[in-house]
Amino acid sequence: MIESNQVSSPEEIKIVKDATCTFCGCVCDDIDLKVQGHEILEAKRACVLGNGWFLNHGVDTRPDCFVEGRPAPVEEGVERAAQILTRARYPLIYGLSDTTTEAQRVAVGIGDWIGGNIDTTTSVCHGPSGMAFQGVGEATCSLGEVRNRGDLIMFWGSNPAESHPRHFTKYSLMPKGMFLPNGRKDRTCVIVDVRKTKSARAADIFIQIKPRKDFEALWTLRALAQGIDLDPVEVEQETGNPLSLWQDLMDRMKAAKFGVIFFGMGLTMTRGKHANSEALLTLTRDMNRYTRFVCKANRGHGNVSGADNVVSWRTGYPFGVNLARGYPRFNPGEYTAADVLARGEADAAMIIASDPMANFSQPARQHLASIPYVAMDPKETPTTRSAAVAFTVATYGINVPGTVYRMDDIPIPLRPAFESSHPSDLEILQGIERRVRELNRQMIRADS
Amino acid sequence: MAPSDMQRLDLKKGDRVRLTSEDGQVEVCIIPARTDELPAGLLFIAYGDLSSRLMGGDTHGSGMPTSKGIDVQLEVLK
Ligand code: SF4
Repeated sequence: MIESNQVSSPEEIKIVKDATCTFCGCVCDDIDLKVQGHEILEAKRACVLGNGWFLNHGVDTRPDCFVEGRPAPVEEGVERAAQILTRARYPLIYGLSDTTTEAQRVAVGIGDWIGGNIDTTTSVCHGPSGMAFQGVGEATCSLGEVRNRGDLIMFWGSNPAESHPRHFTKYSLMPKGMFLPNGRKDRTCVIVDVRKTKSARAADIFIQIKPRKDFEALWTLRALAQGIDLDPVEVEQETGNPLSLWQDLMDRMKAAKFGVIFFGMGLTMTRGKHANSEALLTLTRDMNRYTRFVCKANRGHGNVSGADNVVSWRTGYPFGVNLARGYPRFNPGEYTAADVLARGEADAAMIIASDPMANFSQPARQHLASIPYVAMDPKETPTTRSAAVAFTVATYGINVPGTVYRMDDIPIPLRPAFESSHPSDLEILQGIERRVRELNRQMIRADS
Repeated sequence: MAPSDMQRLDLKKGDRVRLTSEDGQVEVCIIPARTDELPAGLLFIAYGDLSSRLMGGDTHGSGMPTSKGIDVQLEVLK
């Protein structure tokens, strides 16, 4: 609720109650912002990352649009972007996890009109988990249920103390819940990781496994769940921990009333990838023979879950979708951005709210730099710097209203703090979509 | 880097090293890990531009290059 959003003078201070932080997948929607003109003075209840997100957002004075590196009117940028995308034989649309679902929806629409390839940053974070969900399903729940019921909370390959700082206090460990009147005292926390992270300090039990041995450790637990005898020497050799420790953990898991496993990229980015996620999902499913057990991927970006949801509604698949034949085809490894670029297949691209020039593999970066592409981002990044057309856009959540999905797929409205002079992703994408459709019609008329 | 590895290689905080993987090479400064944060032989680098230079383009059919648990050779630059 915006208590007062009428700014009559730049000095007037307004309070935006229950603003939504989109810095991480926790999407905390209880932040009270003290705003003066184009500056956020205070972000009550935000964590250290959330404070950085809100307090470092001043007015960016860069032009709204650059074409080939020179400032240009937005209309010129939109025209050039539409020309690039409609002329391409294999255009890629990528990113989308840090923008509103409204903008994501239009981006997928453009992908459809141009017969392009749509992929989101999910493919390089929990894409392997997405593949595993399709293979074995997901026993899951909302974060509200974790808060009210979860008495055994496990984190596997995930470090929320640094990546999602309010995870413990808002959802998973500290809160007093309906069935956990004593909060933290009623919960047991187990952390499994190759590194003793900051999160490990919050654990009752920390299990340090050997690097690249998540799959073996998870299958050890699966076997123990079913009462299968295992060779203690082999288990210790493979996982770096004695069988007795895994047996103790399994006993606790079976004794829990409501067990939860949060898992992160420690699992999906290492050797095994989707096989690791699949092992964890099946372990969770197995545990439901004994008690209630759920799992949840700890998602990073503010609206990466929204990207999965929107691409799924629009195409039937969550990421890595090709629309070149006029109907959607899904194939991670073939239609995912890291592959389409590293193999040199895409001949044009549109990158929305992500920075592949800073975090893709070298062959993928080199190829992206060699093709014409459109980029939109609130800040200047390595990706916007090399773009044929770059738009400086308003920041979602701070300047732009709309909807985002929390990591547990709960849609949450944004309550912006102040208006930006820059256009939103949505406005730019709507302009490009309109022009792409006109160009398509012209091409059809010319052909007939 | 685990303090025991730093001792073994006679490294102190801020010393530069070159990391070489099968696919790339980066030069970085060393920071000691908290005492028991890392086992010997395991290095930690935050995900981003530098770490991504060590990964290859092949995703093994998964859409994601192997971005963690990468074998590297460490060379001390002095
Ligand atoms: S936990 Fe995440 S969403 Fe919540 S305030 Fe911190 S950065 Fe923002």
